[in-house]
Amino acid sequence: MSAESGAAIEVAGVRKRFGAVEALRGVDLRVERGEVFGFLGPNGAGKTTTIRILMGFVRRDEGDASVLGLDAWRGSVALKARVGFLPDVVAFGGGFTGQDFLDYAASLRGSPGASRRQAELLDRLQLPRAALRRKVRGYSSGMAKKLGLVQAMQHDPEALIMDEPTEALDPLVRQELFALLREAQGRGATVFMSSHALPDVQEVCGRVALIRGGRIVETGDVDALREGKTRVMLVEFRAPPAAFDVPGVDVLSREGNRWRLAVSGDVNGVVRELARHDLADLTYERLDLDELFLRYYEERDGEEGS
Amino acid sequence: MLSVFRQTLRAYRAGLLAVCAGLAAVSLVIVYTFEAFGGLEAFGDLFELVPAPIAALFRAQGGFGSTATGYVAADYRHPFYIIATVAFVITVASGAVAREIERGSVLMLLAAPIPRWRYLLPKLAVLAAGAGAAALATWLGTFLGAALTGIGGSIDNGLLLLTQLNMFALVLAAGGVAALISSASSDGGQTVVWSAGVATVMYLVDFLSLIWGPAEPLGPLTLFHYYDPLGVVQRGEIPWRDLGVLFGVAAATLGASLVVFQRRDISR
Repeated sequence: MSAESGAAIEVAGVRKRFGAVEALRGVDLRVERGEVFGFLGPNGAGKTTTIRILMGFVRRDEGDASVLGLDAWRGSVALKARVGFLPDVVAFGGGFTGQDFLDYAASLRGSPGASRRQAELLDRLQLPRAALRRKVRGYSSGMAKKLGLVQAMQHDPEALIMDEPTEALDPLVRQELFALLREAQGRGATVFMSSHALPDVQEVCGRVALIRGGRIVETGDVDALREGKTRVMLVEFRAPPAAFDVPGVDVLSREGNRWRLAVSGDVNGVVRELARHDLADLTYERLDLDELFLRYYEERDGEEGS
Repeated sequence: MLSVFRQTLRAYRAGLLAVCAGLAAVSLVIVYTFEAFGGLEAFGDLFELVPAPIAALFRAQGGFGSTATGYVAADYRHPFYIIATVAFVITVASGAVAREIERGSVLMLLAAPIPRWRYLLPKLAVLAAGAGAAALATWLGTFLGAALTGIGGSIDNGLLLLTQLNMFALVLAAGGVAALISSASSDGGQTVVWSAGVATVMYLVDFLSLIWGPAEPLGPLTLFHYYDPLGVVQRGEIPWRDLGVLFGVAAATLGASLVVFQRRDISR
């Protein structure tokens, strides 16, 4: 289906149960080719299960899942030739040195030996050659993550599927990774990444999906998601108004002259209303993705609780 | 597939060398003990005093045949051989799938475009190669011991090699059972416990079937029933039935482990 439609990743109505636990309850996703797509959700929401279904590690009970036009289960061998993968836990067995592992991973892909691309990735992700001669069991989690990233990207795949790629990376390396992902996007590659680090997703992803309880609860552009949600405005009046009635604005609290307003949607109405008053101070919170994320779940908790 | 085989062999080579050296050394020492007992006649008198359950451990209730070859072959049933070789194949089998899934290392390797069975098959080949190397090391130890003690002329090396083919089939079957358990599991420790448990129960049932009449019908249900090195030497022929059963179990379990691994979810 996606070969015709141009989607890099397409998931429709996917359900997965592990014993008594229903991990996915009808997941629908569509990632276009050339997108950098963020996949967000709290622990246990179904991110890793979705990713493992996409990589053909886990078989879905119901629904369709395809990557680059290939069925994620039946075509998993063919799709892995075109995809780079980074798991949530980067672990190595077999007493490898770092270089041994990279060579082994490359040989499994039928391209043994260190490539120029591998060398470039090692430099840019700041993994020194001396470290590659050491056993990986002595690696820090950050070094292990870098090695996993090199393994995932050294064959310049058409799509990158990454589970928590920024975890354990220091800020400089994280920025370099973002640059690499943007370059991959520039070459037409698709990036699908899950993360807990919402600022990271915000920085590099064009679109995101939020998953919770095995269901996608929100999908959209990062900017559009920001715009569609409530933001908080802190206003300090010199003389508070007797009445304050603006559509889309709720007064959350009043402590003397200091008011907390919840502003939904268009901000112009409240700005016009406030301009009619004498203000001592005004703070309008910049809504970033983690606030949106937390608020979204708070709202949902409220709805479920009521 | 060759790279997986090489990598797996590299991971286990030290352990395999240690097992092979130990088996060869014990086999060599056993030939020396034959000399120390004072040869056939003296050992025959001594063997009369051995309690039946102890003789049953070696499947030598009817005597060892009063030959040096029979003496060595009976000793091949010593628990040391069984424990050392079965422990090795259980370790390799648990590492092939369950331990890799448990620590998560399988995910990056299976991200390569190869079918899962092509990833597992070379690991099972290492298991088989290890079982073969252990059997060969046992035979070589005996061969060396016989040459060093000067009783080489009394030893039928061909028959002893046949007993080691029987041993190889037993260990391969035990490894197959462990591989099947491993391919369905995501916990290396549990795989070892279950595999060792199955082997131990089978060993005990086989032993009971030899010393306790009511348990006799249960003997054929265990792998160890089909490992009779002394019987091979005494009959002087290829144990087709035993080899058939053991290689059959090995083929069935190893094949099933490939199928199970191919179809299962990779998740903890």
